[in-house]
Amino acid sequence: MNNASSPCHIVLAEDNPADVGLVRYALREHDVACDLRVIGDGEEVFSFITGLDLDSKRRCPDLLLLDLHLPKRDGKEILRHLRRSERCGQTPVVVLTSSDADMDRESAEKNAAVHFFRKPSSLEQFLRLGHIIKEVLNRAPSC
Amino acid sequence: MARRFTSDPESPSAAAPEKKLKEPELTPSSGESLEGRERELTDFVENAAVAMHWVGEDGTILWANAAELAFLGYLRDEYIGHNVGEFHADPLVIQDILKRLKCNEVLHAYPARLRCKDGSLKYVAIHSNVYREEGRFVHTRCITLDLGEQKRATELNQRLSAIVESSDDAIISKDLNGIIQSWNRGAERIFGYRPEEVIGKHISILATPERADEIPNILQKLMRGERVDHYETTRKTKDGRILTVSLSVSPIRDSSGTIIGASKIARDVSEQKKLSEVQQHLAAIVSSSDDAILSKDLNGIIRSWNQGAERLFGYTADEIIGKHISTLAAPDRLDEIPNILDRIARGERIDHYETKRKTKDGRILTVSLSISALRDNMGKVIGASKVVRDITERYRQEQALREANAALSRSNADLNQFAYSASHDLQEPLRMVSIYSELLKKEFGSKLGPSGDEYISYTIQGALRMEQLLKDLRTYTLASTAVQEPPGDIDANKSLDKALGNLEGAIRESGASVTRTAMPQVRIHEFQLEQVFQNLIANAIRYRREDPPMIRVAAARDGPDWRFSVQDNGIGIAPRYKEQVFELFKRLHSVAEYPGTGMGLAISQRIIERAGGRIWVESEPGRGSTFYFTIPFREDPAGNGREERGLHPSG
Repeated sequence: MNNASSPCHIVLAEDNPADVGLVRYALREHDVACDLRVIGDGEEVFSFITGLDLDSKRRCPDLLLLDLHLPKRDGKEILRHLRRSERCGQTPVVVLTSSDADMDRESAEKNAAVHFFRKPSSLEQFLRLGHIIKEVLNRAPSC
Repeated sequence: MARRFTSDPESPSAAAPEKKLKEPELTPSSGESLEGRERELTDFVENAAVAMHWVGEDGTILWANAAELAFLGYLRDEYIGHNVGEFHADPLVIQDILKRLKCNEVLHAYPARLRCKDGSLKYVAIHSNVYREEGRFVHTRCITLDLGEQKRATELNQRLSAIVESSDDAIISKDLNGIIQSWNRGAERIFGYRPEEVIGKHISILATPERADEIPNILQKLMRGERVDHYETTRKTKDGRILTVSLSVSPIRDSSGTIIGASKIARDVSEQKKLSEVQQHLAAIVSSSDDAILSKDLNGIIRSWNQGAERLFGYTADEIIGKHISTLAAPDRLDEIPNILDRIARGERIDHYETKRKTKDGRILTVSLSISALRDNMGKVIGASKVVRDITERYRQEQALREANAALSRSNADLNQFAYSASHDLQEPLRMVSIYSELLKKEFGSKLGPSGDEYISYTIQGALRMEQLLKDLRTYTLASTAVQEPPGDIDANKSLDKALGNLEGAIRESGASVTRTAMPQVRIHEFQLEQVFQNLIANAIRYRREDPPMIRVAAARDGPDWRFSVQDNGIGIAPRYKEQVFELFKRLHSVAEYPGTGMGLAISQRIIERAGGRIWVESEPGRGSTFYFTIPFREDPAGNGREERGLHPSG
């Protein structure tokens, strides 16, 4: 249902405005011309996903950037919920996390997240996110 | 009448087996009643024509019939209730009689001489056995027959001689002037003189100097017809030794009753005295001991109870002796007591057995028991002796200590957890500071001018430094937390390899050369040994002089340990800082001079101390430093080390 000319659509589930700013910056630096929708609250993300199935006119996001530690709803829950979605269960996900706990990685991979991105402390490394996003989008059939 | 003595006089246990005695038949012969029969029997013994009497175990005459009293000429009160020894002319004889009777002998026609009221002597033959109830000596059944003939005297004399000769005691007779007339084997043994050396000499050769006037006193008493019984004194042997003896002296009379001399029985009680002194000493020790010392028989009845036991349990000796030991048991330990008694009966000892006991006022004490078997002379177990020590206080303290330790462990765990979480959570905001500082520099750096650059630089530096500190703090807390599994035996070469690999960049940049000896297998977590090597070598590289660092890593056995060393040619450490360098956050230089967080050595120390070793430094400022650390050498194979074992030949 996607028009080839309509811009891609990225949903960023992230509560930290500083990190949101960085993602925007990273996207800009890498000329990723997508619409960015930011949802800062876990519960809101959850209902957003639910809403996708309820309204067939709504567009599935081309990519979900998901921070695992959102308020109210855990990132893993949200991931599971997305995968259960009839319409948008195949949406690629890049999991963002500041935790270097391996557990997060394992369960994220189990749920077939496309990529696991640990938020680094240097700008240069953060900008790599832009690369990764581009890669993921290019792989996706639609867009 | 032939002399018949039923058993060997010297062996008390070889007693003649008592024939099963008939119960007195109470069936009336002439059809009379039971009371009638009893009356007849009583009359028979009371009024028979032969002398009969009963003597108690201690020699007291308990009953005598009319014939006996008439025979000797005494009134009832003059005879019954007195000691039978008073009426025997020869004390040795009545002693022997009683001794044999106690040993279950039956005496037939035992010759003796009895003194009548008028002072005359009668030669008699005594027939006697013992009436017992449940084994207990109640009284003798004595029948005394008048021998009447002088010729019995020879038999008696033979008898007396035999007794005298075979006695262990010294039996000496002397005349009224104190001249020794006879001297038996016992006297020879005790005093050392042969009969021919002393017969005819005065008795005072045996006297000790300070007791010299004792002998005339004794003779005087004898002249008055008095006896001396069990008088304890000292006498001197042939070779000059002083003995403690117990004397019994009695007058010797002729047939008319005149005193013609004295017969003396001297028993060497030196051993006994020593023994009894020892016993008294031991008893005093037991009595005054602070510990509760008590004894019980095999049925568990308490037999002795010292002051310590009174203090501990609250019962006085009178209150508790005779009661069962279970009086003291705590309610939940009642079944312990039969077990203990069983083990004691088998001759086992019980040492430091911890259990509970109950006091008179119902308090429960924690005690430590030491119990051993009590034996009689034959070695048979007859009871148990028990030392009870109150360890309630100690137990309480140990409990408190255990709890304090547990609390401390928990507290430590909490603290570590906190430090770990804190350092983790603190990193987040830092990340923001770092990255946005960089962004600031990137976007607006040129607009801020050189000062702006500088400010931003310092901001970023601060953030990076903070990040490093937090990382190291996390490492430090990890080093402090016990890793779940115990370490295995690992190859130290491998740890060193990894550490050098991690420092590859720094080694290359500084132009450092690292030499090493072969490394052994040691018991420590691999990643922790790697950490220590890395810290020490990093320091060696960092704190260098102008010359390229030359670093030598070695391992050698040092007594019970492996001693590792990391030696450098760097700037060195002044002696007074040798301990300070290991403290957390402590640095000897500013960050500007040498980078670092002041944690590397603190972390290393934690790791090494956990592994059971020590770490220290020897150094010369301007020349270089050598850091040493030890890891104990363990012979026994490790349980289940996570790290690889046996994959590398031990270095």
